[in-house]
Amino acid sequence: MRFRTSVLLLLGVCLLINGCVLSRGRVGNPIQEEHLSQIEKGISKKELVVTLFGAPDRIIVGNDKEIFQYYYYDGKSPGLILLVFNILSVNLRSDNLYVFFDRQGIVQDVIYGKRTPEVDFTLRPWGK
Amino acid sequence: MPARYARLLLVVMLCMSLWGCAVRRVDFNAPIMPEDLSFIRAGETTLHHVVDRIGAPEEITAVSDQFVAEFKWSTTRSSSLNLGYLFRIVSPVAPTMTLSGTGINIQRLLIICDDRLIVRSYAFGLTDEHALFEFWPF
Repeated sequence: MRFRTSVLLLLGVCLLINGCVLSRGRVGNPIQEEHLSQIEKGISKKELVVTLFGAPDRIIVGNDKEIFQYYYYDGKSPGLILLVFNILSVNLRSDNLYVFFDRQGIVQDVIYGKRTPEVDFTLRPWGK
Repeated sequence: MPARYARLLLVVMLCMSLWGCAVRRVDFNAPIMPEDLSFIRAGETTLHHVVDRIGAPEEITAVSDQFVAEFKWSTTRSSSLNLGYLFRIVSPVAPTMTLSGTGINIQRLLIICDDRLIVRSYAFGLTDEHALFEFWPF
């Protein structure tokens, strides 16, 4: 009786997860927040920023300033692939770091925003 | 017809109506609504305050003596219906006859700041909402 229950339970679990797809994709390296505290406005130089975060993903020049941009994307994708019906969601979020330098290569400003903790495996192909 | 067979027929018809149906959705970042920016006071609020509330922009551009911060989010919906699945009832080989539609809604918010990153103005881009089920491509 116990064996039969276990087999039925296993079969039930298998049926429940049948056709389930879970996938994850990332672009770039996660921005290390502990490194941000080492950057001091008006003191830190470009060399330190490059040592901590590596070469920037993008450089913006203008208004007598140079801006280094670093980004990181995280995506989670749940899906249900059935014999006759498929639904799939891809949820993407981004983190961006901008470091502003003056003409002497000294950090003037830092802008950082993190959205990737919000990314989840929610399957919601419909709705707003 | 006994009720049992009627129910079975209903289930089979429901399954058949879903045959070959696929719905996909891609969300990039959470939407930013006008009410999320009600705290902004032009000439007072800095870009740092904005970033604390809604996250960092996807792009910053230097234009003359100003900086333009661009926030982007999008929803892409795609659906398809493969009518060839219906041939599976009568044939071991099912041809592909797919009707498919995709709608990409890219939305943006531009925030214009001076060179000290104080917000001067902001504007939302126009949006174009597409329906989820767009099987008919014509």
